[in-house]
Amino acid sequence: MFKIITSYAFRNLIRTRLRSFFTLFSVALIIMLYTVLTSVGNAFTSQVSDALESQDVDVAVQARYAATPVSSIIDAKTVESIASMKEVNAVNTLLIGHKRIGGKASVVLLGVSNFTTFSQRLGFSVMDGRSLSDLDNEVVVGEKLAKVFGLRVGDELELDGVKKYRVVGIYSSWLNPLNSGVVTNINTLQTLVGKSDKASLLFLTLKDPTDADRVVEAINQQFPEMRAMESQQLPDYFGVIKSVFYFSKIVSVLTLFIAVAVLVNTFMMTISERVREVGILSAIGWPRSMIISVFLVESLLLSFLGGFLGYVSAYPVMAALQSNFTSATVYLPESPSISVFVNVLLMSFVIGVLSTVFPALYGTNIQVAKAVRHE
Amino acid sequence: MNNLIEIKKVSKLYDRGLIQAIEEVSLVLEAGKIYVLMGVSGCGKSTLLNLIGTLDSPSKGGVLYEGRALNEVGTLSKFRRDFIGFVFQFHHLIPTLTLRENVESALLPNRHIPALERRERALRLLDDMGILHRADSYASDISGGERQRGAIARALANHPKLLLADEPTGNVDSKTAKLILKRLERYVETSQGSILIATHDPHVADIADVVIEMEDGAIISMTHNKRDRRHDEDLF
Repeated sequence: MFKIITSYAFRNLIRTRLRSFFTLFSVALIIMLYTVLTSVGNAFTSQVSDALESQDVDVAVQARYAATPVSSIIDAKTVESIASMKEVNAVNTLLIGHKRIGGKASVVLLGVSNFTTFSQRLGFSVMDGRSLSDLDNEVVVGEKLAKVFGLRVGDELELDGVKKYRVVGIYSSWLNPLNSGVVTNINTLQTLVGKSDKASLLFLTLKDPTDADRVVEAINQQFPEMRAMESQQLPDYFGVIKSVFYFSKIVSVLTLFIAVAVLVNTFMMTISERVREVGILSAIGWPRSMIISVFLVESLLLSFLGGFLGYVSAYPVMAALQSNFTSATVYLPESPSISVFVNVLLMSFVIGVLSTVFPALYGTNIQVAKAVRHE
Repeated sequence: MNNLIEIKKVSKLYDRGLIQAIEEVSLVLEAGKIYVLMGVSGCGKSTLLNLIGTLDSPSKGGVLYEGRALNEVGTLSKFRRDFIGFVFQFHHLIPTLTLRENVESALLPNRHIPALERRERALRLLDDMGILHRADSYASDISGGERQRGAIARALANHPKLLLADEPTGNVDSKTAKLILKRLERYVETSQGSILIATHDPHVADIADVVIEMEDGAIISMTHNKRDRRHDEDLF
């Protein structure tokens, strides 16, 4: 029975091949957009989360009203005051900035107070050359950046056409976005981006890690412009992660609605054109559920095929995006993940079922005699 | 007397009661007989067929099926499948199914029939109707007569107790019409089922056990023929 119904459903789709094609195209396009946006969102969220969670710190501090670490500015006086708290063992400072290389792509710049400390925490490994010394005007560059711009140890790097910096090392990080970055001393970066004595983030290690909650409370009270958080809460506090997370979810729901709307429209038309057919099937003894199953199979064929094509077509789109934005600060994955594929399958099923339920129930709720006479 | 169908004062109103298609029709159909409904277009033949075939519901009165009211026969779709076969005026084959699949489609709801038996039964019926060579053709690729024969094969697939045929010979040539009528007669002889045929064609009345004349939604006469079906060759 399944074979005949599937074959019947397939031939019905072929009968209205132009409509089926455009429906398929619409579903594939929607799923492709979903795949790309969700993959980028997931990758970004997970990369930032990984980066933050990898920080072996007890308390992190950023400016309270900064949406992202990049827009966070902490002045030297605050740094000193926090460093002087009796519970604090050490303060590591990080400044984040952007500059264009050779007037071309913008790269992320990290100014660190202590390269060794940060290289451990951010998963750096110097592949070639050496790490930063205390000298100004030295940089180590990410392997991807080095590859794109053909940089080697000993070369000079011109940032924003202002000054030349000596490349002393090339690093690789398991945090992909950082492989397109440049790391230098915080003082060098402060001068370069015109933020003297400023930092974006502070990472505190405490004498006793169990004091973390007390220190957080104390900093939040004493420095109302700052937001302190325990390190394990760090990812949640970044508005950007939340935004990307919610953006992904909203995109998923919207995608689902749009795809369902497209298919509902198609099936309303299809069923209204096949009223007589529904009547005939009823007359020869097909139960309503069996008639609905034909439309359901048609819908699932379209939604699964559209979902698959959409997912597959996301590959070249993502590859193109990735290759064109290699130096962007937002990490773009090269291909969608398997988890997105599972989501696409699930969504295809939900789209197929939801888009059939209403038209099929509506279309089969008919008076058979009238349906058979329907022109 | 073996009453297959008993129609009790059935009326059918349309358009909020403004149009009376059937007016208090009472009729008994016995098993193993051919009934031919005759009358001009719009006299209520098709409406009566639809009411008996459960495709429509009466405004007044009721229909008993082997003594049972419709609400006692179980699931409507199952009842239609097992009890009634339909032959529509314009074949109404499903265009995206082959002729064999169309016949099989009537058997599909019966899950007790295995796929192989379904296929064999469909092919046997098509062979019986002389269109086995068209088994894999679509309705659009065959002649009107072949389509109608395919539709009859579909209607007979479940060995219904009652076959309802609305102008089964209305759109076919005389040779095909003769073949169709012969096949319908054979069905009655072999299965002891009954046939109710609505038609304009006076030739169809020749195979009838009972000819029912309708006018303005009412039965105006019933003529009982004493027929000997061994003389089928004399038809037409």
